[in-house]
Amino acid sequence: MDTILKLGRIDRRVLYILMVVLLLWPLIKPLGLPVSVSSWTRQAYGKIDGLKAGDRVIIDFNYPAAGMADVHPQTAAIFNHLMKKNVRVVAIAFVDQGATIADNLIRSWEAQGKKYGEDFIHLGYLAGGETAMAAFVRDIPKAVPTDYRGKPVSSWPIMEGLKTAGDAQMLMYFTTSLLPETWIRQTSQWKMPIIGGVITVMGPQGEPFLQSGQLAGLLVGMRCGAEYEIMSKAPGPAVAAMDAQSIGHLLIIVFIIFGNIAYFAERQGRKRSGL
Amino acid sequence: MRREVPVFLAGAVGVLMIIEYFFNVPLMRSWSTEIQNWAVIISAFALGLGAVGLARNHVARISQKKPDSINSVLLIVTLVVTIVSGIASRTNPTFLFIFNNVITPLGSAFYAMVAFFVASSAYRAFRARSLEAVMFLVAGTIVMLGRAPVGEIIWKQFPVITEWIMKYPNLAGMRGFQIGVAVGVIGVGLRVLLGIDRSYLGGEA
Amino acid sequence: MVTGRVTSFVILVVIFAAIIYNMQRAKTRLPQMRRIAGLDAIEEAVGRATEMGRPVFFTPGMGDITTSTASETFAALEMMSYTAQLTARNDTGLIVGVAIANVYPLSEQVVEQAYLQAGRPDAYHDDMVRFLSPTQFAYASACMGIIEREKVASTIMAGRFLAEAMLLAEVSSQVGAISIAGTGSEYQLPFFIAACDYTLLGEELLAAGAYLARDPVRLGSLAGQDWSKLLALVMVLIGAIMVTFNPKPPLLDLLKK
Repeated sequence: MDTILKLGRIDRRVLYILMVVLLLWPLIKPLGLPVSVSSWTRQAYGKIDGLKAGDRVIIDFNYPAAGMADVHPQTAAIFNHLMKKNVRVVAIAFVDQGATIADNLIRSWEAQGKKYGEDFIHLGYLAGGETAMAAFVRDIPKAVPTDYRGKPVSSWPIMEGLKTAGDAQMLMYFTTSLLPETWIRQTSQWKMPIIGGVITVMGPQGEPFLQSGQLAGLLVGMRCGAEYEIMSKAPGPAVAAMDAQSIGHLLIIVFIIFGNIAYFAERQGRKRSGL
Repeated sequence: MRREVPVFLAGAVGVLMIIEYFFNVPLMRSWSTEIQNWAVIISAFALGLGAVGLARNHVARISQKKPDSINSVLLIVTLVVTIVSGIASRTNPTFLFIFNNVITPLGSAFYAMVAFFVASSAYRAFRARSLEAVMFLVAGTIVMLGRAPVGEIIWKQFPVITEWIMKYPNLAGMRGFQIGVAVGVIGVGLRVLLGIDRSYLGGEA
Repeated sequence: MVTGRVTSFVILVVIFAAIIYNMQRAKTRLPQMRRIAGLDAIEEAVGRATEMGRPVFFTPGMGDITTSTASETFAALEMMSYTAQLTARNDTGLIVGVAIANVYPLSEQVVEQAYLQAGRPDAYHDDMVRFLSPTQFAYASACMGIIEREKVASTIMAGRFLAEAMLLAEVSSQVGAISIAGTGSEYQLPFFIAACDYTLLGEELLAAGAYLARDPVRLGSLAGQDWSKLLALVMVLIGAIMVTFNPKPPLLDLLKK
């Protein structure tokens, strides 16, 4: 009985050490568990695959460096898909660190032969949250007169004919905090397809907008990043981390079970002693 | 007068933005675009204000020789180095080094800490005390297993049930909650427009 | 009118009308309001801190006043004012940690004003309100550091929170502080509910100003909000019945205008 009660009183430092060891193990020695593709990813992939060469997509890099583990695999996988289809990307960030993340990604593709100003452009960081988004969508050159590299945006071929957000064929946002209705609200007059890439905990929040059709697609967390990598036939860091995610989830379930076993044993003990 | 003018301004600008959002009035559109651009500039300056406030606070801690003021010295030094290197150029090697090798790993490490705290919180607090708690635990366990590859290996139906939970009960609850919050936001907004709520002025008159 | 916004405008006008009507009605007939445990617990939290001789830590979260989450921040500022008045009267320590630069001067003013209203302007000092960082985890680590170092007796977290919600709530629990949390971020509420003693769910936070002030007009606006929610419920029911019999009812196209 004492042993059962002890299950509910394990020092949290022991739990932390157990987590570190068991999460590190599959990263060093992968288990190779298969990853199936969910309807979320299929839907988003299908919409993006429907874009044609030369189409323009606005991507909002709305996440800080801290959120890269959960969201960046989706961004990188989708960027890869867009580049392979020769879809042009207009990158913008409404979060300061997002601008540097976007710059790093764009430069990596420049190194692979893509041309800045033709295949993509980086408009930099615009402070002001939704107010800045509202200014951006109605007049992009006025809201962002110079790009991240300091040149006038009107000097680049990719910006020709792009005055409002409605002139693009799709809008995507990747975020750790932005509410889904923000971009829906700001672009409602054009009814343009919007795809969101969010952290795992924000998935339930986006579901109503996906069901109503206000979002054309929704990618949730690193799991959808891994699924997108598989669909794009370019497995990467997200797929590699899936084994660790499996172990982590199992571990938390075991902790909950231990805690509840001890709780019920304690309750039984109190009932027997008449308390 | 000190309070009446800002309250009037807040109300007037709010009404302008609402009308402009719903109606195509070219004059109002140009005014609202201008105001939005001002807001972008003010927000950018507010970042600077925050940095000044931070520096002021920590310089005071250093001059008063408070305990752990060495951390304040470290903060001021890194603040200055990051600002100077970032202003010099966004692709400055020092700035990129700080971003890629300090900010990103530190941020990711802190984000990872959430997992440990979730584990300890789950262990400590997730007890099947009532019927609702049992339903919460069962749904949570199914979703955790459904979203991890191992869940599908344990039982093929876990991902299917997870998708059903996300698309039906979760969606219904979320929608109800979001409608409630949205109405609450409209209520707060109206009170601000009418000058009843003045928290943005820093407390009651 | 702008395409795609007609229905939204009509609904907005109806909600405004319901709220304004109830605000007027409340001047002669005060609406009944249920108790909100989390808001009632603020007094208990400050009392506990007074008895233990330890401070209260308050943070208004990561919401800015220029975004759609401004309402949560305004609600947090009202809770901050109420808490500051209580700490001023009880001579209890108060530390406010602010993440967003825009909110920092407002917080300073709110706390200073609260101490003035409580008749204790001498008790207010500059170090009470601290600007921490707009970067999520720098803010989180600063809050965690304050909670641990100052061994706070009570933690009040109100406003918009992201992943740091779990960190703050758990650290608060680890130092033995009583914690009250409120947010409109649906995806952070489960963490608060699991780890905090009292949680304000979404609109309970937004009702904070009206509830704590006990002002008839503000309470009336809450009644108007409830009428609006009733309308939304009726629309959902009608829509569900219509869609059950006809997957593409003509009314749907009208509502999409």
